[in-house]
Amino acid sequence: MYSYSRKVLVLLLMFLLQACSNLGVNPWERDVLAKPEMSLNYPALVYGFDDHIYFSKEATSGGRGFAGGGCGCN
Amino acid sequence: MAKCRNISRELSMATCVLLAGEANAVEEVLAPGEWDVELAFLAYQEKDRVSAYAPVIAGVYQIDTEELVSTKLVIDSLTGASANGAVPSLQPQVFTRPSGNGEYSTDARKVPLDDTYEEERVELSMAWFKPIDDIWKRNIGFAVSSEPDYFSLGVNGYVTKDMNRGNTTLSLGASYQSDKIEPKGGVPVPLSVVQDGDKEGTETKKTKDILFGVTQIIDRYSLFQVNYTFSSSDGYLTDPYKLLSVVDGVTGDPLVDSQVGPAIQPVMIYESRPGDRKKHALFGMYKRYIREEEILETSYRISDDNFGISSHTLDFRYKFPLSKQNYIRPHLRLYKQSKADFFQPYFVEGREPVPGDGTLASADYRLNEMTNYTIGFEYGKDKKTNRWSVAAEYYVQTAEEPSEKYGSLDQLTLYPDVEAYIFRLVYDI
Repeated sequence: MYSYSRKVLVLLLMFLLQACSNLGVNPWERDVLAKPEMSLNYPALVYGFDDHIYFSKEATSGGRGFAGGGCGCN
Repeated sequence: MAKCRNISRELSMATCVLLAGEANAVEEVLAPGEWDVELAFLAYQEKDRVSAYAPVIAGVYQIDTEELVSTKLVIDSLTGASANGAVPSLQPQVFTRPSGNGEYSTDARKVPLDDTYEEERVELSMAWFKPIDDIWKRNIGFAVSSEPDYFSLGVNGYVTKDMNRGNTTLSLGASYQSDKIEPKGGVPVPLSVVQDGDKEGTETKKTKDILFGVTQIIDRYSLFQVNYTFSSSDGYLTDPYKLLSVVDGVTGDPLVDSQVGPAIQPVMIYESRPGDRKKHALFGMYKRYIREEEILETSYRISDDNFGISSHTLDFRYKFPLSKQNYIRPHLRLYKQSKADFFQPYFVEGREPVPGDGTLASADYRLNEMTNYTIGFEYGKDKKTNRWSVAAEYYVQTAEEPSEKYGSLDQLTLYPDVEAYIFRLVYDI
């Protein structure tokens, strides 16, 4: 299960890289994406709170960023 | 406060700061010399168990058009009671505190909770972001966390590369964290009997992470990100405060060390976890502007590790505007994990391990098979200055009962649902 998952993950990433070359917009079409709430790290502090709670209460952490927790709460 | 707009730069910066995590609270691009400060407060309350209160202050200083530094200070105050791993009993139970000074008790039929859980943690993190050239950008950061029995120091860094006219950003990051563990009363010898008092010294743990990510603009209204993370931890991964009961092979009752009035002081054994942990995680996030300030955000994470724990996480938020500035954002999170290979709820008398025999075992409910749900709402006001939001959420953990219960254990719930209420306030000055 462990090594099989790794192979699936690598193949999926390779597919995504190939698919990405056909997407996107011109610079003058990025008005909506310029809104702060469309930023991927918005709202940053909320994500930080969530990551800390679930790191303390569950066995999985990270994904959005690094998995290390930096506290003795898990 | 004047704001600058350069979407390609924002996409790269947003990628870097998202991956860097908590240190970077960049949500809008500032003019050089400007500060953006956010205040936040988190209150977490479990029903009859742990409470946590965390005020936070985060700031971003724009050094130059393309360069910024960010910092964040968190003060965590934890109190309350946490499950110690022992099984409930038909009789009240008494346990020695981890420090060795004093005792705490549990009523009959109740999951034993160690109520000496009280400490304060301070965390400071900082990060610096600056482009290398028009295509390559970098982010370097550090974080230090200190609490009475745990100290952590970590560094991290990212580089990103813009491609496809700035529509695609590739990211590569790495982090290193060194932790020192100094439990109250000393580090217990794994698998030793609590009553023998074999505890001394401190331990260390090292964690290395590597991350590869792709951020992609799909069209004028949407974008997504996919991250692959590999995390490797070595050293002391055991929880020094978690125990396992030893139960009678016929009745299922905890083995008694001594009688304290109407209560029993059961024989308890310290847990033992592997000395290394390797985790893989694939995370995907999609954000789409629907219409009239309605925004959909969803993410999915799959994770697998050599503890035997695999998990799935689905997160969903949807922003509904109530007026030009006010909004409400419902939140739903679903989480499911399998149990660790070495998870077991108790030892059976005659089959308990001895220190050094290589047995791995933990009754920590957080390593059990569980399905968790979070549901909540955020209400806020989006403004150019003094933006704020409040949120209230309900979080419940539902764990699986062991299939091998017998005797008196069959009359008891070893892993009841754990309910918690979360309150959050964020204010952008």
